[in-house]
Amino acid sequence: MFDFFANPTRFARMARALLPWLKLICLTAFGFGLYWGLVTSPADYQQGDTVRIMYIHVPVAWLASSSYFLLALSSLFYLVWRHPLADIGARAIAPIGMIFAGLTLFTGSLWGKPTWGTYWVWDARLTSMLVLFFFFIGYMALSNSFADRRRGARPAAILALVGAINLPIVKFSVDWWNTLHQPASILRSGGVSIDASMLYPLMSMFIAFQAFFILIVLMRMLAMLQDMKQQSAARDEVTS
Amino acid sequence: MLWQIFKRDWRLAMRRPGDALSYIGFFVMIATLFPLALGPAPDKLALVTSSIIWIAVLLASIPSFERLYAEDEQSGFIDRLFVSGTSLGGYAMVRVLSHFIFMGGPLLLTLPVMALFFGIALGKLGLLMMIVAIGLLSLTLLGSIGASLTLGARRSGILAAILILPLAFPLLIFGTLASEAVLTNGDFMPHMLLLISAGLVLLVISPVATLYALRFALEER
Repeated sequence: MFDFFANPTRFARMARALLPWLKLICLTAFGFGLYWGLVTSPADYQQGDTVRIMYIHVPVAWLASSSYFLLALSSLFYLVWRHPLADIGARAIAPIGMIFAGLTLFTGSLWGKPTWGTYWVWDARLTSMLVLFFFFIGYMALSNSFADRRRGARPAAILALVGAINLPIVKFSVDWWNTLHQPASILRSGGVSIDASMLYPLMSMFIAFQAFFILIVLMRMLAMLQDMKQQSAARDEVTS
Repeated sequence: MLWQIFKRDWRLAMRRPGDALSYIGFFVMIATLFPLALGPAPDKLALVTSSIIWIAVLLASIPSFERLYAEDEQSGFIDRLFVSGTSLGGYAMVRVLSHFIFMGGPLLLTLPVMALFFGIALGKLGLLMMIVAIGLLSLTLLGSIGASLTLGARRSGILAAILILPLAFPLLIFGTLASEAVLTNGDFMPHMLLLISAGLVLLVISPVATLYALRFALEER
């Protein structure tokens, strides 16, 4: 399968064929999700209408963590198999993951103000998301700080893997720190069961954001491939 | 061969005491900033003493990691090691160890000054030094990853700091909690064991990551 996708032209052709479908899924799911979420779903009996922030906040938070996982996975592919698309994929994912982590913090603090009475608390989950945000910043800073773009690929891939190994440790340490410093946590632990009237819009928004994520990553990868092609064409012109 | 490198580092450290001196000076200056910013009240400072020490250790150490590999890379020393077949991972661990001994050692010896500054009982100093030493060694292992990944990069100093700091959060958390427990006569063992285990994880990751980072830096120059 790796060999099959190793041909960038073949990848580009398949990605282009996928784009309209992804756009369709994305728009439909956003349409249903936003309609259900903002209009038909009930307001929470305690939180009122602010609970509707959840339909953005939760999918975005989930995507932020899974994009770091994907970033580490493509970095591993790149280091082990030297798969050129894996580096492009990782570079395409990083800024999107950073924006999703930033959006999680932003929507979370908007939600925190009416429900907890403050925009920010040093809660374990908030702090972990902030650390994830820092990890994305580090990855992007390293991968873009070499004169030759390709030179940054392997150091950045190593960093992504080191970060992936460290992420559970950071998460654990933050939990440890938090339970000792803040015995009364504001976020309820344990799963809160959720009614179908809220579950369907949430699922729909999950699908919408997921499709949006794949769409943007593929579009960025296509743009980078095109950019590389043009640069090498320019080089050929100079040398010939 | 590795022993030869260690002896070389030893001689270099003896010949250039300024490196360690400026490192310690920076450390003490950072610690001095806190009373100036927080006010001189001893009871207020007592609450944050371990935080002050750890933040000072972290901030003073991060710029010092830049010289772990930069000089050897520029002088071609790492190339020659690579060509001669010496394990770059072993070389990296020697560098980490000599950085810890010749830079970290003097820093640990200034901790009694901290004890004077912040009114730490002398009986607690031994334990405190041990905890800071464990944290410093782990931090140097992390610094090795940061310094090797940023070899040849633009603005490599600030870049390495951005990479290392978020990864150092566990060390900061377990380290401050353990020292805090020592200072307040609490149970420091759980925190210290967690600090040690975080350090052991780094002991596994650091040689591998540094080895590949150095090799890639050589290949792509």
